[in-house]
Amino acid sequence: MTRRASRLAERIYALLVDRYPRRFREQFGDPMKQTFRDLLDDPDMPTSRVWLSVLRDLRSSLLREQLTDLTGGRLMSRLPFVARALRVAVVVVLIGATPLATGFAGYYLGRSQAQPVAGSTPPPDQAAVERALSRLSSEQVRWVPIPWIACPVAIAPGDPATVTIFFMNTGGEARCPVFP
Amino acid sequence: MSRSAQFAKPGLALTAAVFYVLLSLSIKERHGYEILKYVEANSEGRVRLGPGTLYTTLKRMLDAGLITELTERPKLANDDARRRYYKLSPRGRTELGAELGRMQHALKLAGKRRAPAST
Repeated sequence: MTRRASRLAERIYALLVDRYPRRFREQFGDPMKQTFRDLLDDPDMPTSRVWLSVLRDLRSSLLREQLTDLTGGRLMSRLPFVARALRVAVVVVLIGATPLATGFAGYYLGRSQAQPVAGSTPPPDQAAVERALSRLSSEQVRWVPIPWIACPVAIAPGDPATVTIFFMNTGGEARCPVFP
Repeated sequence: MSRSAQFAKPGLALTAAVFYVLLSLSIKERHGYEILKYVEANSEGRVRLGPGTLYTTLKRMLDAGLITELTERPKLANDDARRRYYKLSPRGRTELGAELGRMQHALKLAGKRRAPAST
């Protein structure tokens, strides 16, 4: 990576660090930028992987810190019940907003698309998801870390039909199952 | 019980990220990037931390008293003033020991379960 490209990447990352809550930024903003710079300077680390890790960060740590800041301020620590209620409300809004947003996007995009072909595969139902999940407990699987997307899981061995499931382990890392 | 106290409650299993950070600091004091590299290398790529998740984890561990920040930074060539160095606290050492004990116990149990099948 050239010096100029590296400086540009640092500037972009600094803008992303600015999205973290002020208290967190004051305490960890500089070390975060330094760590990012170390990652860019690492010859074993491709730049694409550095940015992938940054995107993963945005998904998990940024949201978590914003939520903590929202519900864990000085006032909120005096009112733990209100903090808990607010946290639940934010999660409910987020859960509700995601299908709404994707629904609107799907509707908007779908308007310009052709009509669905007769006889095409119907969308997976809850039973298909449950069958795919039961495979995970009954068969040997290998877990592969993924950067961002959800995993397609086959409903039955040899069956081309899949359902898309998002897995996250307790460490906050997204993973996909791979059947042998 | 506060969130940080709950997080460090003895007997609770640590997350993979916290476990590897504790393990890395049990050997020597390190700065963020060193911790990040250690975690990735020693978890064989299973746990990958970005700068954000690393410092979110470190913040939680600082709040829980598992690690402390070094007040006197080591004198090293090519060091940057923005780097922060961390070390394991006595509480962190206890938690790590407890977690390793739990793992050992689990391995022992798993070994006992496998033994009849292999004979």
